[in-house]
Amino acid sequence: MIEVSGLEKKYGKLQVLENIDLEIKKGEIFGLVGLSGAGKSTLLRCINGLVPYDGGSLKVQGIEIQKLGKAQLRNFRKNIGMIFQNFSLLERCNVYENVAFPMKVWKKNSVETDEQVRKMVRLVGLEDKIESRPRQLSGGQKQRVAIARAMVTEPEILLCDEATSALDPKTATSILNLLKEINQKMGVTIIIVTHQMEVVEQICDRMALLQAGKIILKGEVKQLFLENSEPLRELLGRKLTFEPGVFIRILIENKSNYRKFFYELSSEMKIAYEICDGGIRNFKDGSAFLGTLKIETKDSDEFMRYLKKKKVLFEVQENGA
Amino acid sequence: MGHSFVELVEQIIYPAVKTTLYMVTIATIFSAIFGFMIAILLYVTRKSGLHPNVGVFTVINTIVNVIRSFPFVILMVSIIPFTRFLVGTSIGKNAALVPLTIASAPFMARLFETSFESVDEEVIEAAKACGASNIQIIFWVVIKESFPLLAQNLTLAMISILGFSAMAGAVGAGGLGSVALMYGYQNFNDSIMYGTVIILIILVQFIQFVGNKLCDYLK
Repeated sequence: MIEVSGLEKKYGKLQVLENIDLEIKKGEIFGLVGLSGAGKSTLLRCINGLVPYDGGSLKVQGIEIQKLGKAQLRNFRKNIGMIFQNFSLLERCNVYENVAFPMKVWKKNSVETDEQVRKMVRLVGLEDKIESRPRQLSGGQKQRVAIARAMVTEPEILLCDEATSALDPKTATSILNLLKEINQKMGVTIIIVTHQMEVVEQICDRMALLQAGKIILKGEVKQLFLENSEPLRELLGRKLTFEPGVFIRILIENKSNYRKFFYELSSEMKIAYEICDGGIRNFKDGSAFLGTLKIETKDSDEFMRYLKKKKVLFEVQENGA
Repeated sequence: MGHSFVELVEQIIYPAVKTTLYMVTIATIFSAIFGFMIAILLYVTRKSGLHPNVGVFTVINTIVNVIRSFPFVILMVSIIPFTRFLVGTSIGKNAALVPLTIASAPFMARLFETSFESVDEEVIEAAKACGASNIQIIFWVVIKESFPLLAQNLTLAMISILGFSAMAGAVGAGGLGSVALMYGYQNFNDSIMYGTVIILIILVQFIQFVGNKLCDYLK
């Protein structure tokens, strides 16, 4: 759906994006993660042509964005919705008028507009607020309006720029659930820019980690969490503790599975182990146990054989947990 | 002397108030129209604008700055030939409209420009992302969103035009300014001078009150 190769972007002398290669598949939720200034928002804006790029290629549904003329680019944006950190609503318009804005831009007739606007407002659950002005709404409600506006032309792609960063955790989760619902119901490909790993963990299928304009890590979210490589640890602010022994990171999907695993582990394996960290994580497709166990070096081979037998995903952590 | 209070009000103050209101209203309308157009041009052509154009921006920006650096009295006198050319005379309320408009339009332009700039960049970006054209963004987003501030700044400018008009009165425009000078400064008639001051205070209060109401209504 979106193919990026060798993408370059400079602001003056500052290299903002460097040799970006990425492929985003139709229908997936993809996370672009990194600290502020990593270039993730710029990359997002390249996708809908808000920011022009200096080199490389960026194709959306086979169309090279940079080659589009001004009018073509505008037309092309009908197919890409976008939401922002600070909601970006028209303060002097009510919810209905805000959601109807893209329909007005595209000069849709009033019957079609009315039908679409009401449908989208219902989708985001704000039927009773349709006459309200943004300043009468909470942060979460404002973001819902922004989502309805972005989806009113039924685009195939939705770009989210730090969409939950200005919200409290509970509201953020409800917005993420709404995005997940939109992804599943409408089959929209969603690209999320965020500095919060919880966001990626909860709703992304795959992710790319950006640092100083470069992609330093990309892959499936669960796999990356399991590997727990250095760049990811750094982003999460986790430090390793160095101790003798072997540290094994395990991921067990499905609630009944991880309950069973620990029950059986203590009865079937007569080895000592320590849980260094671990907990239940809510990934896009359900909850899973993710944690690190410390095993004595002499038991490690036997333990890994056991994990393979139980079909548990695991990675040996090279230098600690 | 020898005028009764009623005569003073009927023959001197009332016509002066009418003249002042005429000058202020018409000059406000003209300078708002010109100022608005200049502000849109500045806003659109600035470096981060919707259609950046360094040449156009620099020229307009410089003209605005040059006119704004003239003290009003000097501006009024220095453009007398131009005023004569336009109105046929340099004396009277209609002649005063020319310098009043020329002095206030760039001021108004700056105020409107800052009003437009108050619209959040992200809101404009969101409109672009929806596929809106520059014209649509200017009318449906920038102008519409900045209405309350435009009203507030229009009020501010109108009050400053009221001040200018009193100054214009000193050089033959008529109105409250000339009454205060003629009767107060030259004839030492304190009651008329302070009377005009009170009327000016009431006018400013009234303009500000209406402006605030309008701003609240537009929010």
